[in-house]
Amino acid sequence: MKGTGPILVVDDEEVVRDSLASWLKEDGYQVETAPDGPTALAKLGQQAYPIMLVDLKMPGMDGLHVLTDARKMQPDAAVILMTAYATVDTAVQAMKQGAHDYLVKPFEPEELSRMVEKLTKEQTLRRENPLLRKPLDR
Amino acid sequence: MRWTVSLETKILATVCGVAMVFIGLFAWLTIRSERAARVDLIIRGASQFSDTVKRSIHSAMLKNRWQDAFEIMDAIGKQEEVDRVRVFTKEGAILFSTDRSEIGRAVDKRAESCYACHAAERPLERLKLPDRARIFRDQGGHRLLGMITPLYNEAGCSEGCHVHGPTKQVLGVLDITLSLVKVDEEIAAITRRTSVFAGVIILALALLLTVLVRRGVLRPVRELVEGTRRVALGELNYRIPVRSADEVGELAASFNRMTEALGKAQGDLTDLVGTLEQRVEERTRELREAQDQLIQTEKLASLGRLSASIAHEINNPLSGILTYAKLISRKLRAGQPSPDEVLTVLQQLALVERETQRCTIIVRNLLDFARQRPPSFQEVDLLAVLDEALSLVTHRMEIQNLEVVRELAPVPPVRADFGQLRQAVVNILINACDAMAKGGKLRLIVGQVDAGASAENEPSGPVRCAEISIVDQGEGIPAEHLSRIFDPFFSTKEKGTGLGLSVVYGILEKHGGKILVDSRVGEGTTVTLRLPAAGARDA
Repeated sequence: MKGTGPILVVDDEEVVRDSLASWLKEDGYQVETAPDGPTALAKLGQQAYPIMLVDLKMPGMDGLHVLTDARKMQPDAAVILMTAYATVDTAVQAMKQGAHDYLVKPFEPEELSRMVEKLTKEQTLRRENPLLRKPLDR
Repeated sequence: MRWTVSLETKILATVCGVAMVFIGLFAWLTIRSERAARVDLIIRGASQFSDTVKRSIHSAMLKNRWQDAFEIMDAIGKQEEVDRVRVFTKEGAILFSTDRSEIGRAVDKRAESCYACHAAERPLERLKLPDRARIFRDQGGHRLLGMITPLYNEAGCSEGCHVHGPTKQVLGVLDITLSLVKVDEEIAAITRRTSVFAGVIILALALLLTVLVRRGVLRPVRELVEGTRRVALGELNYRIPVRSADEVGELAASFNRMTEALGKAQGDLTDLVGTLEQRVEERTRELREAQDQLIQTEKLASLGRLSASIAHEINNPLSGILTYAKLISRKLRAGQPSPDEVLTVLQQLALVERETQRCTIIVRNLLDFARQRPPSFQEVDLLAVLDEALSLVTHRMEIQNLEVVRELAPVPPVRADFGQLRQAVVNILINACDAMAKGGKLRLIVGQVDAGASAENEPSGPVRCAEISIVDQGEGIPAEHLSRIFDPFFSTKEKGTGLGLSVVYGILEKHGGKILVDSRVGEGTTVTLRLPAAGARDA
């Protein structure tokens, strides 16, 4: 079991959601899914999700909205935005609003794996860093 | 033909009238001079006759043998044409008459016979020949010629014996009356003959003239009139026969030349019109081709406007397919899968299959929409048109968070080209999506209506129509733009071609339908596409 918490996959497309969840589970991660923004935010209220995979274009609440709200609720969570139609504009806007990375569908799932792995490492480091510092402070 | 008859009558009446007057005058003058000549002749004859009588009785008178003289005169008086022979004295006492009852009576000197000499105070003694003759009528109405012959005093008379003295010049008068019955009959015969001749000549002249006028004037004129009529009816190949080299012939010839020129001009005109029609047809075809090309171009442009949502729609299933494919291959490489894992893999493969088919349908729809094909008109259901149009735009609406409300009722089929109608609906739908960038409710209403009251250019009254209304809650169109939205190249969008609505307008017009736009800024726009139901226009 890698990481400290489950990865949340938010996409209105069932096939995208399920395939990515299967792939990440195969990587050894714990994965949860949400079909839309409100469901995702509800889940965020109950539990910490260190890494979130959010589709940009969704009916109802779009990905940027989810991103903004998630950043407020869980500032430590890393959000990767996905879009099926890439423009420089949306990428720039996503990064400005605090997305950690950006994937354009269809993407190689290995790339996602690398991205998630890197983020997990960073988060582990960040978490371990204060623990390691403590003895030094004493 | 009244006019020709009238002309004929005029010419003939004039000619016959003139002929009648002149020939009549000639005949009258002939008769008159003939009569005068006859009378003259008879007077001369009477004079000679008188002279003969005078000489016959001369010697008997000289010898005073009265009885002999009377017998001679009696014998002469018995001749057929002699009416009466008498002798009277200068004073008027009748000495002898073939009419015995007169003898011894006196003649009135003022009476017509005597008047020639005794009119003046003193009687004339020598009379000219015409003055001695007189013409009068008897009780039976027959004309008579009276001729008096003075018996002059001669040497033998006064010397010989007897009663007359030498101083007297006129001793008595011999009066002979001749009947003019024969002469009058002759004159009447001459008059009759001359009149008959004149009449025959006039008749012959009239006949001759009739024939000549008919052949020389009326027939060519009638042919001319007929020619004019035929040419007026458009028979420009008609030619009038030219029968003579005179003015009428010249007229016919020049008429023929005119007709020929007219025919040539008309031929040129027909050619010109033909060429013109051909060119108009050519241009119309070019225009139609250009319009079809424009429709096609605009269609591709609208696909461009949909590219984001199309990419999104396709990339999602592709993403799933790719991930599952990688996942399955990864599992299979990891070693012999367990029966559970095989089941999962099979489920995932089924998903891959499903998603592939989804992509196929999307691509097929796209290609179907983009394909260029000749328009074909058939009976089309507006609901099917809306369905197919939506299949291209639904995803766009979804990712744009539009709430789509369908209010659909069955509608009569319309006669249309399915592809073009779908293109028109897609266009309006995309416009509605563009207008509702901030989301909102999009109502799609399909229904039927009897247009006529609201349709201004519908002379034939209300017609059953099918219509589709697309009601958005977008930003609306400013009033100053409303009148220009159908103008080609008019666009308020950054990337708009300005052809969308203009093409929709063209498509609707081609289908005998119309597009109605109602818009309020800030509230939204309603676009209605209205098409007459198939067969509604014929019914």
